[in-house]
Amino acid sequence: MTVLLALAAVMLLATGPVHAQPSTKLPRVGYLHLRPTTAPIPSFEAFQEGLRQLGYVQGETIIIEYRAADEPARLAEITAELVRIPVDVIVAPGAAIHAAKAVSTAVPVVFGFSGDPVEAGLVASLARPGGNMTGVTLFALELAGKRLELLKDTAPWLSRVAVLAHPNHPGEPRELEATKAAARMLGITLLHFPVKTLADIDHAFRRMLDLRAEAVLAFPDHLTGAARREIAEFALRSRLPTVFGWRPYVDAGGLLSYGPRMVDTNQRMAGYVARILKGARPADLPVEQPTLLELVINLRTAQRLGIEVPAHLLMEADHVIR
Amino acid sequence: MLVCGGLVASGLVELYFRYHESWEQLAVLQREITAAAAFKVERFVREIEANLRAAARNRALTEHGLTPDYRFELRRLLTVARPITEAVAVDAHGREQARASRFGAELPLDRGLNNGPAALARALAGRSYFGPVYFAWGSEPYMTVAVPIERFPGEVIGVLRAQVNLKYVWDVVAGLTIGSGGQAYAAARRGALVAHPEITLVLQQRDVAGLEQFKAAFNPDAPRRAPLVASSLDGTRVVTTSTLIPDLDWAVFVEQPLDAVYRPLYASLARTAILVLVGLAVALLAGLVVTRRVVRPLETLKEGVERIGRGDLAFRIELGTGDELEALADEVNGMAAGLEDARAGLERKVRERTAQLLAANEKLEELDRLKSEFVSNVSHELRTPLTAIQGAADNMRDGLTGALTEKQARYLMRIKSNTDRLARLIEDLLNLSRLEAGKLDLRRTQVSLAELAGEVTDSLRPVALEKRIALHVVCDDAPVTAWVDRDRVAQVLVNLIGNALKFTPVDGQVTISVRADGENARVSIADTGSGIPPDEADRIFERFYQGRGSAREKTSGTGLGLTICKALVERHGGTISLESRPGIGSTFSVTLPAGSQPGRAVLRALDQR
Repeated sequence: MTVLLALAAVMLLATGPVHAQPSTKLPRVGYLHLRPTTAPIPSFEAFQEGLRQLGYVQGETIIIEYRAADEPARLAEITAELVRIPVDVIVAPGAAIHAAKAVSTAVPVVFGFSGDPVEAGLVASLARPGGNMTGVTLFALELAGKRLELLKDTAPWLSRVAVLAHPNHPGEPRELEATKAAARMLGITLLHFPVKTLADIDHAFRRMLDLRAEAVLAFPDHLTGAARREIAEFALRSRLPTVFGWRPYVDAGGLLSYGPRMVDTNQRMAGYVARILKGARPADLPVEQPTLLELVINLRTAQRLGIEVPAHLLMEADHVIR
Repeated sequence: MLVCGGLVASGLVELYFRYHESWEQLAVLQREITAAAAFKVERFVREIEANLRAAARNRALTEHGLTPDYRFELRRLLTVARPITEAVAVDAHGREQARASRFGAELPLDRGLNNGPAALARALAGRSYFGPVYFAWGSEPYMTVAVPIERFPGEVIGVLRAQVNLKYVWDVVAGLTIGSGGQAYAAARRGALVAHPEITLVLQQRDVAGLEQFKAAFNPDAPRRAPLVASSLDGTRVVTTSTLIPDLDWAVFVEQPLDAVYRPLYASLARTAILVLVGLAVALLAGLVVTRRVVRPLETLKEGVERIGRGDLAFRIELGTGDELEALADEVNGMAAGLEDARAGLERKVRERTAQLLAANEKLEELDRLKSEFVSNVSHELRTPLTAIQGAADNMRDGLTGALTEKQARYLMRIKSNTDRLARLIEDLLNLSRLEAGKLDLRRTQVSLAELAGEVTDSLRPVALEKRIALHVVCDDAPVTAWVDRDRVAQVLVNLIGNALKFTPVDGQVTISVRADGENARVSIADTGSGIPPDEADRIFERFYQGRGSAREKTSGTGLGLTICKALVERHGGTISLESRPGIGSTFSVTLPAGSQPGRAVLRALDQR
């Protein structure tokens, strides 16, 4: 009997699973954001949702240190603060990437960049970033012409379009250049309004009217994002069709948006964070292009503007707000 | 040991066959998974092709031909087929007629990619074109698919060319569940990774052309059915199978880590080994039990049977096993008990019979003693009156009673003859009774037998002369002596030679031989008489036995002579024997102790007989 018991014990030891002891240290992620106003940040919410889908729940399995700067000058300061904590990964969407790049080359950084990350010096190549940074690009250059084309499809009479853009945004010059090239093909004159503050936007509104702008194209950046409702309301008041890069602009009353799906993009960024937390090196993680592009049309805005959206556009739209 | 060996052998055989069966099952399963994966990957491209074919055969084309308005159909195509990033329609001369792109009109993705003429030529021939894999923006995998644009069935008026984002194939390969840690991926002939669950590898443009499984997949001579053990992209040893998609010139691979493949086999191996160990332990325990329950009792049984077999019939085998062996032991015990009883009965009977025989013997000895005593007494009592008769008769013959008439003299002669004979008979009876009673004392001396034989012969020579019988004594040159009572031996020789002369006819021959015979001396008396039949030879030394036949009937004897001879010779420690051949003659041989005075002990023993 003793022998049988011993054999049974050996059998259990030989076949039983071995459970690792759970680590008590939670991974820590710093989220860096440039937020001129206290308006809600849809991208951050989408990012958190992305982490949740991958099993990272704030406070339980991960700690997200959210830091927002109301002006670019403070970004470096709060980035340094994140590095001191320290955090395992810094997430730096949009313009915040430059502050992160300036502060540390040791902490992995995940970006969501609208420009060309190779040209901006963030990565060596899209396939092999090579440094401490990686992330997703937002097809800003490629989509600039498409947005103007969609605007022209919606309002074929257009010939003068106002462009709101932050001059300090790293991707702004190339995006403006691409937009101008498309405008030339479409027979459109661009009215460029560089804006750095909300006051600049107010000033730009007045200048647009003076210059008889027939539509508004706002580059997607933190400032236009924060002022998306003001821009939409101004355009409605002035009966100007608008086109943007992100859906939240249309949700706020804009007419059209065409660009990467925000939720998808931020979930991809969450995916990068997860892989880095599991040991992947940013240098080996290729920069991804968004796969899903969405066309969103606000039909209520169109009606208020008295614009009849072509049927083929409605057919092509991924979302129509009625 | 036999059982243990059997268990180990069966365990090893089981492991061998299980290994091969598992490997075969894995091969079959993995081939099926690979075929399914290849089917899904190809279906992804075929669906794109189907979408393109549908767009290239619509009513607007039939009605208006290929015009710039066809771009609306192309934009509709982009909404239907998400992997298509850009679609371009060209006429039969290759001139662009319509274009739709997710990125705007000025950014054709295949700019600089020289697949336009090839796609055009193939599609204009009415067939679908699947271009090589290329990477846009340095990391995104794309391919060109082109189909003919037909106004009417068979009337090709242009070509619809689409750029397809192959990142969407990720959904296909990532959705496949392949064992534990297994994965499926697709690669093009030039080595470009088209689809992989780890999209990073695709975006890094990892070249898989160096992998052993890749070379085998595109090698037409390589065996297709057997799984290959090779290194994966990350260096892990994997079991890999592949299937070609000829139209795309892609191969789809399905790989499982060797560890994961072997894990169930190792687990099975461990289980079998443990079972064998358990079996061995059980066999050992069973062996011990068998030893205790069977072998030990068998040994006890064997020892018990041997002990009983040696004669210890009182021994009983105690097993207490409560089984057939105990029943067998009980049977053996029963047999031993039976044998013991039988032997006890036999011994009792032997004792009883022995006692009966002893009693009968004693009675016979008593009777014999009484008979001898009676004979002795009677003889003694007879001799006294007989001596008186003889004396009286002699006196009368001597004339003391006056002269006798012839008739009286004849009667007296007859009386004398019969009283002499009666006296000899009585003398013989007395001698015999003394011999049998052991009362005859021998006066031994060293006697020369040749000399004694000569003396006896000489005394009987008148009888021989009377019957003209040749009487000889033959002796060894060396003196033959015996330690005997001279008178008694002489009595024996007289009797034997007398008998020979008596039963040998006229002109016969009697020869007396005296020779040394080892430690004995031998005296033989051979005659040329009528011989004695064999059936009488055994009885010739019995008392009062007288042979049949005419010669015997003519002689007058007491019938005690040979009996006395035998008793006298045996009293000396010798033997007497007869060899006779009827019609030729008889030879009586007497052996006697030779040489000088024997040891006192021997002598005493002989004298006490």
